[in-house]
Amino acid sequence: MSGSSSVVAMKKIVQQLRLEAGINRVKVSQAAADLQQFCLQNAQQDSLLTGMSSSNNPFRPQKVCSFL
Amino acid sequence: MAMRQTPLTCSGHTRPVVDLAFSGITPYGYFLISACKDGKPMLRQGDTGDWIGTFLGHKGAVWGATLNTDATKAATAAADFTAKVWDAVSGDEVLTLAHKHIVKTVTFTQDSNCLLTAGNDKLLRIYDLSNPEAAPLEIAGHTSAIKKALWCNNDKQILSAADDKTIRLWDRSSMEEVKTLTFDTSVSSMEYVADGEILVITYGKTIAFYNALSLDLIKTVEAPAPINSASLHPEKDFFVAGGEDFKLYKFDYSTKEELESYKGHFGPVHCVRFSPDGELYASGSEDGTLRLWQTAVGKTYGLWKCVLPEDLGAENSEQMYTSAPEIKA
Repeated sequence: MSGSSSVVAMKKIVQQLRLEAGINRVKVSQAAADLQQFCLQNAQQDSLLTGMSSSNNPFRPQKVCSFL
Repeated sequence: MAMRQTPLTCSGHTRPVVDLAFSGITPYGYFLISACKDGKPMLRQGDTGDWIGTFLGHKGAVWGATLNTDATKAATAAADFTAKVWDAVSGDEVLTLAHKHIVKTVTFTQDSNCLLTAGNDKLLRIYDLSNPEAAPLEIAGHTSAIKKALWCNNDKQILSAADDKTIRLWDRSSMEEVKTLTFDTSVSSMEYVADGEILVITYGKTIAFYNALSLDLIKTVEAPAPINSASLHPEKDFFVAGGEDFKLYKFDYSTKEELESYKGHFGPVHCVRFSPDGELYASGSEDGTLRLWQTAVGKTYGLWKCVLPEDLGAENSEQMYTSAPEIKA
């Protein structure tokens, strides 16, 4: 089992695990509350909820172009 | 009469949830542990269902899981022929207790000093956790695999249910069998309510209530479908049951009347337990989820908030998560 390559690999694994252990974790109920609040606060900016004029709508049926 | 209820669905397990247990009420609230065939029992906050941690170490399906009263220790029973004791605060494995066959059930005494285990080797074992190296006391007698074992009568006696269709009451000091109840069919679950010394047993479509000291029958109630687990409310006004038709049933304990039934799970319900304060009950299912159900639907508790119908155009109770608590009358 000795050999510098496996030590290097192990060091990478430990570093990755340290990164993962250090991630700030939030309780699921808190995350759900935050998600819900975000959606409610930004509902006005959401075109799928509030609709938008046909001139801005990038998905409106396109007029056919023709060569002059 | 039929009230709709949105349960809190706790996902995370990848295989059927076969057992669950609540701790007592601690200064940090109460906790819930779930045993799953994926081998990774999980600890959750009891009133919100928030995942706290997963106990890693078992190499097989975990069949039984329990917490001690103050939720500082956890114990699990698994198909890898071991029972493990864990530090529930750090998640570390504290003890591994080797057995000769699949371990199905584990339970602490009230003082958390002893652990009772049982499983497919048909033996009841009592471990002294202050001296874990010592050999456990063994009680033999059952003629087939033991499904559930519990301390009762202030930890002076033991109740065990096995596939030999019997439930046996044992005296701890003499290690002798005191009484046996025989059934026509295998008992699917057993719950002990210390306050009042009541034993809740399920078999077939029946939920039966016995006096835990004398093993005299108090009453039986028939459910619409085969029942896998039932739990009695701490105040003994209701009991809940779940089984093969995926539904949760709520019954009045005194009148035996079926009050409510709730759909939600996508598979048979394997275990049902009331929380220590009786405000909610948790169910574990073949579908791999746990669901938390309110006892008093519409009440504000935990993540449930009562919202009046005119505010949402919906039913009189909704689940809402808010950062600023608004209690509407």
